[in-house]
Amino acid sequence: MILGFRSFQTRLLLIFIGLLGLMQLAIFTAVDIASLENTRRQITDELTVGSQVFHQLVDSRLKQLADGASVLASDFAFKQVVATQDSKTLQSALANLSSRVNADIATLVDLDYQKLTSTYDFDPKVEAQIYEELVYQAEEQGSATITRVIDGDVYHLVAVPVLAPYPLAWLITGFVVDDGLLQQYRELTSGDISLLRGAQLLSSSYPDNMKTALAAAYGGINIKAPAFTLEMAEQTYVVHRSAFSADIQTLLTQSLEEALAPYYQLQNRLFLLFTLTAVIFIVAITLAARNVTRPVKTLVAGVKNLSEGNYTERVGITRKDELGELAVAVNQMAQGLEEKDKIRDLLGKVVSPEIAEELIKNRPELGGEEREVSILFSDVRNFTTLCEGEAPGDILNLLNTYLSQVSGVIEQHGGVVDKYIGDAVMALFGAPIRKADDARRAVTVALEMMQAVGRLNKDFTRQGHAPISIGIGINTDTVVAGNMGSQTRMNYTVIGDGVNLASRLEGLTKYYGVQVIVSETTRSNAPTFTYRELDRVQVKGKTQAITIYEPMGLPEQISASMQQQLSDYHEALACYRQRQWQQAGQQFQRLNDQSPHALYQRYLQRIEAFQAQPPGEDWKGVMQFDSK
Amino acid sequence: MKPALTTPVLLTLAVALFSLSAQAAELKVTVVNDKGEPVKDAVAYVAKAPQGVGKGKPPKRVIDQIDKEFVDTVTVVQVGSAVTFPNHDDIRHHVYSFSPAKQFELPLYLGTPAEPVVFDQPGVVTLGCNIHDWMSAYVLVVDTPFYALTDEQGSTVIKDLPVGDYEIEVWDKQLRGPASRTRTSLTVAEGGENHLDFTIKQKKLWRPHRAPTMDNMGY
Repeated sequence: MILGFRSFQTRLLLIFIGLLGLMQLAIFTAVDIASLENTRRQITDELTVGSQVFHQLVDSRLKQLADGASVLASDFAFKQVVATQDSKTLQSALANLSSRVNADIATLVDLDYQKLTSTYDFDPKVEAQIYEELVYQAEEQGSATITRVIDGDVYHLVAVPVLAPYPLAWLITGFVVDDGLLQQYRELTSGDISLLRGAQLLSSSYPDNMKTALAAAYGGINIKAPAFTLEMAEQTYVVHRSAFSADIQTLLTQSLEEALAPYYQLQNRLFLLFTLTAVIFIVAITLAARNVTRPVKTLVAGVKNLSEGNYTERVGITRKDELGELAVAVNQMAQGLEEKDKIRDLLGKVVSPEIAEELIKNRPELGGEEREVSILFSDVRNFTTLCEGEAPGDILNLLNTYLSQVSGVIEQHGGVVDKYIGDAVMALFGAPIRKADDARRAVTVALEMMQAVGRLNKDFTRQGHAPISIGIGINTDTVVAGNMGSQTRMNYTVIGDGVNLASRLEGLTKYYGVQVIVSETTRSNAPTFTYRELDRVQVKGKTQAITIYEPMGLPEQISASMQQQLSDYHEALACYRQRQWQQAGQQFQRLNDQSPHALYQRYLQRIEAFQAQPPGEDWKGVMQFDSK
Repeated sequence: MKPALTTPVLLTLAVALFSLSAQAAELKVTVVNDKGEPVKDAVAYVAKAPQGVGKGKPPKRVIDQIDKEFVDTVTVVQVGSAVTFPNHDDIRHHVYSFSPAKQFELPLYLGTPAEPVVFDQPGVVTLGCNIHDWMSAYVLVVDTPFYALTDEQGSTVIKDLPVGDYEIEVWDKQLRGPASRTRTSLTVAEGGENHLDFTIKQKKLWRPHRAPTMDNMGY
């Protein structure tokens, strides 16, 4: 994988943690959005209500003022004072009114809008204009209110008539909506209150620094909606705007961050909870994964053992789940394999490993196929002699040592030991598996078997046993290879004339005084060796004469004197076949004198016999053998 | 109540006529506002009369209080008239005036106060009751016996005017500006028919409503 996940456990952990993380992120985001949205809406709602409350408060303050003024205006004594127009008395009456209804200003205006007296004097031009406007409205409506910014202060003024019973004059009272009042109202409006005309801040419940910030932030915006947010003093504020008067706006503001403080606390707790969940998850998944991976690892180790051919080990998992079932199955498989292996092993000992393999691979059936096979027969020539004076147990030991040695040589060169017949060995080259150089390997095995016997004899001699000598016959022919016997018991072997001939050839070794005899077909199939032609023979049960040879070794292994001897021998043999008895006899005699050999002596015997009684005209140098 | 009111006037006129001259004529007056609507309860009166016309002792007058209202709402009296204020209700009233022409106060009383109020200066006197804010009435004090109140059609007749040169004025409680602005000259000839049509500007008259509750005190 791209990420290089090391194991199932890691992958499982990563997947689950990833999923958990995604899920938690989703929850977190949803809660975050919901909380933010919720808080903002809640603040907006609070501010909307707060705004209504504020305006109610201001209205009720104004009503209170108007009520107070009306009560005074309908006081008979006050009417009398107004009628007399006694300025000083009026002044004190207004002062009394102001303190009674907590007004910031009280003024009496006559029916021609002229100020009669007042507790506070503004710029004459400004106040004349305001009073005229106010009283003009009051004449129309019976009473009137007006909101004006005078000298930077927001004044709420109300005018009521002094009736006797028709208006004698107009009594105007008012209050300033100043910082103090707004701070007082702020307790009830769940937000700070500020009055602005355009970007000019008139009064506010905020301290001075926030006033500046608000005026600066509000000055730059152009929003029509009643609720919006402003960034000021590095915080986000939710703002609700409403009209205080025609040209004055009321802004109620509340810090979003402050309102979100409980949510941030919740967020922290949530984060903690998430972290805790993640840790628990990791531990739980690790444990769960280990619970799965540990038996899997055990299973993997067990199966690896099996693949390496170690069938005796068993997987030690006892569970009732699928893994347990798998372990049982693996163990059953191991047992099966172990049994199979035992059979194979046993089979390999009874028959050769190749045949065992062949038997295991293909369901053994009776019947065979024709194929070219080189058949090697070996036999311990003086086995009976060897047995003399030896305990039966020792004989078996000696035989097994010998058979192990030669079998080793045979198997080493890809030969197949077909069977042991007492001290005799029958080996196949080319069945059940055929190779191109079957004959060559057979001859090589024969030569090496001789050397092996040589080495074995040294040991035997040292141990006080008699040395052994063996004879080997090799023939190459097309024979039938396959399973032979009955349905219940069968052998893989080869049968045919070629097999018999190989056995006959082995039998001839003693006669010719050589250790190995190969047929002409074997020789032609293994031409790399140097051969000595022994004879032309017609063995029992055969009408065809064949030439038989003794393999001498590879040409480079043959000494010069031996080559000369071979050359002389073949010359002598040629003379013999041409019935030149005397010359052949001399040559064989010379050869025998130089290095005595049973072979030469056989021919000297035959020549002597033929000189006494020459063979018939049909003699072709073929020696007939009637015995086995 | 009009006949009761006009009877003393006619008597006075009759005395005057017999004492001065046998020749007299009527003056028909109509008053409309600037929208052309007839003005009721406007007063047409002689502001200046020929020498010796209309002098004599003014009659006594009465302004009743019935069912917490003044009756009538507009009363014209000659200078020097003594007016009584009989209270016909079973509750007390407190009649007052802060008008410059006559300031007086009849503190809480039942029935008819013993002393009448003498209106000794010409001018408009606004009457109120300190107990009942909505009670209001006007007393126009004129220095002549020749005056009349307009009817629903804004028409009235000043009768028995002796021949001579007059100045006539019109006053209405809603009149904008002083009454002197309406002053019009008139020469009364014997047997002639005299007509004067007045068009006046009216202002809105603000007046408390009857039986006010705490909430509609004016705002």
